[in-house]
Amino acid sequence: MKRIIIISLIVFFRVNGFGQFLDNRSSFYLGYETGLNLGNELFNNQGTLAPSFYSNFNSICGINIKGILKLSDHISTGLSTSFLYNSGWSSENYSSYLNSNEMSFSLKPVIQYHTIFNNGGIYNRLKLYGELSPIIGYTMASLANSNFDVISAPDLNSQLLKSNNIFYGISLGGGAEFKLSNSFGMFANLSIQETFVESPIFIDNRMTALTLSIGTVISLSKGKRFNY
Amino acid sequence: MKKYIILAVLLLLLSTCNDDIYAPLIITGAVTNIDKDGALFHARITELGKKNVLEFGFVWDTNSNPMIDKADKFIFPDKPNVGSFSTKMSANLLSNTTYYVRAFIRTTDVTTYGESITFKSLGGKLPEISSISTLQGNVGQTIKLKGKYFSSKNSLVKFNQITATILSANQDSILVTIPGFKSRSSIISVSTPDATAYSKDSFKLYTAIINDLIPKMSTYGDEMTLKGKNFQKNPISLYVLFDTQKIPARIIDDETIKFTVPINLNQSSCSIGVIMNDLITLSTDKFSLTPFHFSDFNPKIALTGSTISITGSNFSPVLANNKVYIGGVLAQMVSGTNNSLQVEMPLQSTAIYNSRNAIVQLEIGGTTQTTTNKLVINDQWFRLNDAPMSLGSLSDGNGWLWQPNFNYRYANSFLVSNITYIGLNFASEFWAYNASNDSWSKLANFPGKGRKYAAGFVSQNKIYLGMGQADSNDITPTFYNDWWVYDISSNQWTRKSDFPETIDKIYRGFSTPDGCYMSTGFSQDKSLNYVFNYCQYSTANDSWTKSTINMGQHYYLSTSIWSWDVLVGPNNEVIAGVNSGFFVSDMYKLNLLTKSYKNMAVWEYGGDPEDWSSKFIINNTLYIKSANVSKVYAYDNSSNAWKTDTKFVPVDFNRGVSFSINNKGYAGLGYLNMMYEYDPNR
Repeated sequence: MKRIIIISLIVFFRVNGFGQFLDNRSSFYLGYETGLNLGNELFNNQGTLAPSFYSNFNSICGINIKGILKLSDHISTGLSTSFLYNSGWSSENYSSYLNSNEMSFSLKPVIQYHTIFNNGGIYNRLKLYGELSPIIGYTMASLANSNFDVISAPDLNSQLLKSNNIFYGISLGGGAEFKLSNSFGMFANLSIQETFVESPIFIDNRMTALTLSIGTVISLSKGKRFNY
Repeated sequence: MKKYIILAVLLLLLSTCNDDIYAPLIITGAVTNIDKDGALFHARITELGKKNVLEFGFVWDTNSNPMIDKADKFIFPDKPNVGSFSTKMSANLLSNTTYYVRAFIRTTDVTTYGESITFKSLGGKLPEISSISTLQGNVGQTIKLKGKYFSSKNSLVKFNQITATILSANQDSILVTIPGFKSRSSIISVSTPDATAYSKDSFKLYTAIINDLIPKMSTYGDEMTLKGKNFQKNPISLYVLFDTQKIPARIIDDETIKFTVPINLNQSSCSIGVIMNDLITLSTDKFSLTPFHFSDFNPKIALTGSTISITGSNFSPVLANNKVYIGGVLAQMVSGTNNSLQVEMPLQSTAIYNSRNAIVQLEIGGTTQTTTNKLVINDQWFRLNDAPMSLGSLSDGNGWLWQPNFNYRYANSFLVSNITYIGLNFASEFWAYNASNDSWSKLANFPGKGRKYAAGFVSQNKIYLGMGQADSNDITPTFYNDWWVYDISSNQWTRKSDFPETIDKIYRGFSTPDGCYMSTGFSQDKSLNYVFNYCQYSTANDSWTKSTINMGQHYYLSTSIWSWDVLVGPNNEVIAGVNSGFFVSDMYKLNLLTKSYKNMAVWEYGGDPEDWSSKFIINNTLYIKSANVSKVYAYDNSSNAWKTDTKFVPVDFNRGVSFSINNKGYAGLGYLNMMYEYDPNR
């Protein structure tokens, strides 16, 4: 059985996938994104320690869409966007943001360095890559309870339950995509992103997250060449 | 190109503004570096708001959610901006105590507190006073104490144990109002709940210095001058002190003040001082009022209730400060000027003048002057000292209850050598009254029981007294028949033989040069003739002899026990009266030796039985003051006619005592213990 599997893989990888890895080809990625917020229970902002808003979210989920245009054998570029939802805030010692959540939308211009396409072999179907991308995004924090007590303007306390802010940062990641056919494949992407944000209602001015995206990739041919 | 345009639009849409937050926001950081010297507080301003930030810092307390106005407070001296701030807090932190701290930021319209953070303190530092903004000042002035580790909430600042009002306080400084601490200097202390710090230097109050008083004698309303120093240091608190009276001063310069002698000054001589900062500086010179002069009064003869004019000079402008005493009685001030006063003599119902020839005194500011002339009080009735006798029974035995201090009835009076002996108003007390000096002396008590309607007479400087009725009702009365003699020289009572007859009526005692008698008044015999009943007492034999005078038939005579009285009138004639019951009384002159009688003119009295009236003989004229009626009746012996004197009779002497000495009548007791002299010649 083992022998059969090995032979099958060799045959599979030896079968050339023509067409999809030609120059000027573009690919589109759609994936489910999850991850992990990195950081401590307390955030230290210039010496002021307060319960971290982002670090104590236990759940990140969302979708990731990315478009890539191949510029050379090793370099591609594109644009990635993510819609993420943070929830499940918990802290061992604090209750500041219990039941709060956060939604974000981000854009990442991507520069990708990837392996060269081979007409045969494993790299005929598999592409490994590393990415570096700046991030700009929009975060919408929604608090269950205000942590401020505004005297003389009590109605403001309810307004202080929301904070929408632009964030920016950088993302460094890598992944792999595997073509099942000329135009269809799968991918997995792991990235770590460091972004900066300023909000009046929480102490955090930086968030660090490790995200994993898994999904499908569709490749389109600009000038097809057939090697049958 | 299209791609870039879409991207730019997308970015623009994403970069919409935040909510329009106009309040400043501050986040309380966790407390760190907790040790025995305090703890490190952190905060971060995330939003400055739209209004001017007045202050930001921390508040902490042992209660949750501390507030600026109730908790200890620290204010950052820094200019506020978005960013983090921290400070080591050492003030007012007790060890092993849980505190709540939260950052705050305050603008002109709102105050925002960050989240309340709790921590357990390990202690703090004790307060220290490093400097005082000024070491000399005035009460009410504001000074700043600088130092360390003050408590903005629990600091207590004292000047000589007097607590100062704290206007504001923080860790490093306290702004206080200087209290009046009744001393020229004081150490300042700042206390927190666990310690007290003391200033190294004393704080001094400005005080006035007096060098001279000009002039030293003046009168009401005159302007005076004080020379000295420091008068302008605290003009608001500066007053001139006339003894204990504060008056405002007019500050000319730092060394001169002027003021006016208060018109209500009521001391002829007093110390002068200056009050500044609640501290008194006294002048070494005394101030004297220009002496007043009491030159005369008018009229010289007056009735009580009338107005007397006082003339002189330098009288007090405040009428009440001019006190006029007439016969020791303070007269009521009516009006006055600087050199004349009008006063009203109080009526005798409220005042006892010490003499008919009254000394008139004028007292102003503690100084008294009199004139050589005396004021003659010309009332017919002149009130004497109240009788010191004990109050009688509060019940008259007939169910009537008398109000307290309102029953001096049923006393007997006996005149011996111008001394009147009075007693037995229910009680057993016996007193001697000396009309010449209006004095009372207590004598040996009557040994028998107290009673009413006791009867007696005087014989050979001895007083015989007894019989009467117990303090029982008059329907079924209980009579006594004991009989006693009082020896004036030895002040002793001796019991004699009891009255031999069965007593069922009230007796009246009287004595004439011919003998001593008791009488029950009139009665009817079997022939329906009226007779006057009496019995004569032999002091030698201690025995009684009964006798009667046949009066014949008289329309008006009554058998009522209430309707008669017996007295010895002018020329030692025995007079017996009777009440007809029709407001007309018959009176008779009785001759006990010849057993004959003469009719007297009918006395029309006011309606009360004459046995309740007061009677005295002055210059051989019989005067009767009827009870309950404010009239005096005089009987002219030669013309056998009554005349009524309608002059005011002050008091109802109902069943009191009456007697006459040296051509004056005396009446008193009855309901009250007042005594009056009656002078018909006035």
